[in-house]
Amino acid sequence: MEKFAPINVEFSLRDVGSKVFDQLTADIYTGAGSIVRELVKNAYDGYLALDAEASDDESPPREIVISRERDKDGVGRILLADRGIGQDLGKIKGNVQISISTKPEELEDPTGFRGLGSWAVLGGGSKIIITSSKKGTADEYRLEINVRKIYEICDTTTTAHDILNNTKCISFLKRPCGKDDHFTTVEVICDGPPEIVNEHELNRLYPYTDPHNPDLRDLLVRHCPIPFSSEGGVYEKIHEIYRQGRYVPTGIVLDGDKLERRLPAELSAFSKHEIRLGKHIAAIAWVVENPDKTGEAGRWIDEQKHFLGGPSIQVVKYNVPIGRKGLFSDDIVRAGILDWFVGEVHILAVDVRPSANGEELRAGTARDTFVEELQEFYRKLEKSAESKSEVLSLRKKLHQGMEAAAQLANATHEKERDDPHTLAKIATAVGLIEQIDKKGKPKTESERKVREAAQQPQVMRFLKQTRDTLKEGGWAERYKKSDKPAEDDKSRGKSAGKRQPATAGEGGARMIAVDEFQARIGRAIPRFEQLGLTPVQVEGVLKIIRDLLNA
Amino acid sequence: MAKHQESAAKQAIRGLLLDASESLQRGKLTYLGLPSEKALDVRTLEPVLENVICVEENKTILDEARRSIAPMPFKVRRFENFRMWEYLRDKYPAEPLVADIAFLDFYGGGIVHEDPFALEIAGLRSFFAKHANSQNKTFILGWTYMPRDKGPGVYLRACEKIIPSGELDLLRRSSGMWARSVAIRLLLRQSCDEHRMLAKIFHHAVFKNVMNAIVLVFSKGFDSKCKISLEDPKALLDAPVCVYDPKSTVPKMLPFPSLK
Repeated sequence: MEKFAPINVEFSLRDVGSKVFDQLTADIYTGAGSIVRELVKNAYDGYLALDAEASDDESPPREIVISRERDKDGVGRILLADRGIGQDLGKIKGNVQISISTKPEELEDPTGFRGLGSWAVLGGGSKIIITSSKKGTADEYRLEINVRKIYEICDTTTTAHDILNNTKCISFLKRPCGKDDHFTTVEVICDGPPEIVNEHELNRLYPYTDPHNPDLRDLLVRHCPIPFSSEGGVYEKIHEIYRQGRYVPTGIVLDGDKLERRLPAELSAFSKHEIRLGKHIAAIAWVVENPDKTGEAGRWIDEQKHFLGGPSIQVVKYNVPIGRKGLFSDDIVRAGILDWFVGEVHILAVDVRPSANGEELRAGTARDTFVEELQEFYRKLEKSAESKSEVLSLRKKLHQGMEAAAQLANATHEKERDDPHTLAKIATAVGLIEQIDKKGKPKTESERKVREAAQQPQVMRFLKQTRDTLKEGGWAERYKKSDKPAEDDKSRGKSAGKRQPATAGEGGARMIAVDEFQARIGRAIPRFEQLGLTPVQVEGVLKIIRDLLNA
Repeated sequence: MAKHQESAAKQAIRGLLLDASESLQRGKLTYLGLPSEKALDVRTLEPVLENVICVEENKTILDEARRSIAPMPFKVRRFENFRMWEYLRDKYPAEPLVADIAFLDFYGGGIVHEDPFALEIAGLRSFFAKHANSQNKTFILGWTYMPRDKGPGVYLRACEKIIPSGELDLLRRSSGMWARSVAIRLLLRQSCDEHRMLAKIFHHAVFKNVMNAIVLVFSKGFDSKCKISLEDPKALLDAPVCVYDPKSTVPKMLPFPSLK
């Protein structure tokens, strides 16, 4: 029987279908945000390489300049320019190569995203022109990618060779320039609104070429590494984290305006946290919140000034946002609780990397472990938010009780002295102090929270003063828990969870037990959500009910 | 790709424009001009600029200029695909911005055509009319030109239409390279006079007996911030010329042909 013998079969670009370009990119880079992010990232990387070659020359400002226009024929343009190290022929050719490099570390650019070169931004326009000159060379190169032409000829029979070696699709040009010139300019030209050509979409960035469209700024805020101000104070702490994360602040200028993130003055409590994988620090997080108020931090954010893209916690690597805010927090913490904060988690671990489209972390063991630790950090924030809520509530009630006692001490009319609202505040304060002063373990969750909150410095300051004031006025004795409250007192006096029998009140009104009331409220919550209320709003309604009952 | 006449001389003119701009002492400025593909003018002036209006008849050059300017963080960038004189006459009046620095760096340009002159002169008059609306503010006009023309009669005919005959003696007596310079100074003086502006020739350079560059500083009213002292426009004809001779390391200051 004849045996098989080896034969030589070679492959070339003619064996690779042209569809691969679109499949690689369209499936990964689906939105305008990821396209813009890729462009900004590349510009940022140009500066990194320049820093590595730093000389005695005066450095240009470290900025990525974005401009756009729409001409009278409706052609739109977005230009991104940097004065980084620039590109020589090898590098500019690399814009249309995929995953090929003499240096393995170059396969992933410094910002940790997979390098798909200009293919990543293909659908952004109908033509892409990259012009660059590398520092120290006297040549300026240009790469022109005719996206419309590529898409017109791209079908199941077209090969990668047909695209890459077709000068109507891709062309390279060169001219001399000054040896000291170094820059890269990427021009995305949109010859009209988004359009499908041969099942491929182009001109995706067209709406953003309108200089009056504010959405491009929002895209940059959401997807790109905009640095925080370097003014000092809390910003100095953030910049220290930048240094630890090896991110070098690089300004982004849009239409002449420098985009710089800032924090509202109200969010003045800053904290820093380490997220560890074993012994190693995998990430450093920083968080700010309002020390004196609870609830969503978004109410203090003015996007025109702060450029934060809303409250909550953003995961970043080299300051490039990964995914949406609060990534991996769903079902881990109460919905909306992270919105009480503004912060970032800067990934330091080399093996925790963003996915190709930047919306997730790349799959792997490191990712899974990191996500667990990240979620633990979110839980910690949730606990801290709840604790703050307790602390502020306790402080407020003690303060109110103290003020009420002082008010009654100065009251001249009997009516003032018998005012039920004022008396109720005092009774509440007395009840809380009793809970705090009790010996032994707390009997209920509510009592535990109150005692824990009482340990905080901002409560302890009030506690002693309130205790003394109420004792002086005889209120502590009058409203001791063992005493039955007077009939005209509207004090609370009962801890949550204690069963009260339902009794019929005067006039046929039915009284129900506290826990039964709680259960009814709990059942009603889905109905709030069906009405369109967000979880934060539902919590807001529940808080109002709570306050009404407590009053 | 059109050729661009670059030289140390041109760069010197740009430097002079930058010096004049810094003398205005009013922060970031607006530029109007014909940048080449490499936008060297804008590059030199970048430290003092906030906005740029680039006018160029050739779309390819305009597109290249756009790319060259891309790395500069300007607030407003306009790229007008027009002939400069047409732009000045037809579009500039409606432009919300007023050019603090205008640099008319024509490639072999200036008054070249025999007919129609209406376009160039109308453009110049439109330019000064717009600037006359800004009181107590100093502006800069740079103008480079070469004597590529069809003879002194061309300038005489142009100037006869707008300048009183009695003031044209100097032009009638001029010839060669000087004819164009005299005509241009007369036109500038006339324009400043019409709008009651103060003016001064900050510098008039002649390179290799061929290339001329005038940097005019002017204002309607008194600008207290500007460090350059301005005068009656009549003095524009007296300002000397700085001749840059390749055979000499130091330029020579020579009197400009005068009516006196």
